[in-house]
Amino acid sequence: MNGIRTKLRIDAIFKTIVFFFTIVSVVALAAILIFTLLKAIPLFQEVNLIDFITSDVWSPSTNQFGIASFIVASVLTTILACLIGIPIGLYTAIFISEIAPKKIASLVLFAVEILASIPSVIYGFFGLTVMVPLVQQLFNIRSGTTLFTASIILALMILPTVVSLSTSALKAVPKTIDEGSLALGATKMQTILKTKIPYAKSGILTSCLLGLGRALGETMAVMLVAGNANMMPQLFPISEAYLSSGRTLTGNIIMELAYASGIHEAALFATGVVLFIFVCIINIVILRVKKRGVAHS
Amino acid sequence: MEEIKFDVKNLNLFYGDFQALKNLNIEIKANRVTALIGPSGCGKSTFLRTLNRMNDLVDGVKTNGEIRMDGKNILSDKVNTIELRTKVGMVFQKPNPFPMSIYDNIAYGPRCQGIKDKKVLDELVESSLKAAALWDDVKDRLNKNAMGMSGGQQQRLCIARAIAMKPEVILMDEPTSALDPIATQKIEELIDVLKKEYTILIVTHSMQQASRVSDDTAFFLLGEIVEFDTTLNIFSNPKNKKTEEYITGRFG
Repeated sequence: MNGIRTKLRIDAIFKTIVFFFTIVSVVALAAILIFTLLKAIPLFQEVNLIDFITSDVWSPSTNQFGIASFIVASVLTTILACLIGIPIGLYTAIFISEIAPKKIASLVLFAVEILASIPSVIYGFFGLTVMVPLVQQLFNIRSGTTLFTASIILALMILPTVVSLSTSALKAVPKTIDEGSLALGATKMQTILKTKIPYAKSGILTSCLLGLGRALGETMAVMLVAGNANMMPQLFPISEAYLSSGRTLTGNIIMELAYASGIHEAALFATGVVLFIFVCIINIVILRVKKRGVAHS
Repeated sequence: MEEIKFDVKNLNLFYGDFQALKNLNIEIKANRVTALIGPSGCGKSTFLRTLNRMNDLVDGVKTNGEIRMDGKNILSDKVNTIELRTKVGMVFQKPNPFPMSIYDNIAYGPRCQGIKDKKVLDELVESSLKAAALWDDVKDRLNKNAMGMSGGQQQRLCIARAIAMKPEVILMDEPTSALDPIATQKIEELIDVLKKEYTILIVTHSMQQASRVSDDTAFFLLGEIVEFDTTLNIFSNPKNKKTEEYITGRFG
């Protein structure tokens, strides 16, 4: 009897510890959120939210705070980074999980995972010293610090996320599914494209969305190569936009936070809130996709 | 004399250093149901999988000897395994429908062979589902996801999927081991009908099933075929002592 009571007590203690640590992480998130929101509030006593996100005039010295150009820069770099990074990442994942011999597959996966652990400032540094001059020469423009350069660096940075999560999604497809397809006289490629990828769809989509989130939130590397010009890129033709310098939402915060005060500081926190909303939207979509994935299997 | 579908001669199979099949010699007759029985690990599933070269997918498998299908050695390097598998269909232990509609599951194989004509596919889907005794159950929900069907229906779908390829042979690897008795009975009735058109090989752990559905039975033990005869003889008058011990449940 005593033994059982002790076990129950240990059980209760363990539950309390788990609960406590869970609370810590939830509270941390709540604290950051509340702090950012509170710090952003003073701005909205001066500027309304709609103006804040639709105006492209950002001039702290004249109390004009509009972040439209930063939103555009963030969206443009994120889209191009995904357009480049996701296909490369997916094909790499297919290569690793389906085609490569085991040794080569683990070597490639290892290399990709190293890519994930490189600090972002190194990516930025690489971008600044290698990609920027290259872009400058390639397109014969005055400066190579452009949204295009930033997109390329971001594409590299989202690769590990896309590759490793898509690889696990593909590897998680039961072997019986492959066999079922091959036993019907399907080729290996038909099996991969018509059964495995549909089966792993939700995992693959999740990996892409997480990559997207990473591209949107990346700061340091983008700041080093995007040029950070405080102006609305010329959108037509779109190549013009990508070959001009631009400042992303994250770039805006890090560029000015060090010396900002008062409403200016509040505007930077508000920029953070907008960024947070974007990230929330992505995460809600991820949850939806995952739920759908569970439903079908 | 009955037509021989597979003529197996001196077949050996190795997983690395382990010899899983030892010098098998067996003649599988066409349009009959041949049951492969024996304790776990005796090589019966491995043998089944040599007949459509599914063992090629396993790393480090080596085979020698011959399997002549209608006179042609299917173990030869020259054999196109894709083509072979369209002739030798397979149904697995666990129902493995693809995560797509019932219709698309059936049309999968034919589409992989390049058949795109909607009319041809429609007909194939209907005739295959009818042949698998599933048409009446699902004709109103062909566009529903196959993952939503019951286990027994899923397995009949997998049989229908194999039939859609118009194969000559259907291999069944413990097709009812994941099913309840009623679903099992339906599959067994189906096998009885299907043998008129197809040569069927079935791996099973159930003695009753082997005696109910098969015409011939091969008893495997430790990678060898101990005895091969008509099912009637194997179960009523086994010649080998090991066979008798196994079918009476004294080991295995």
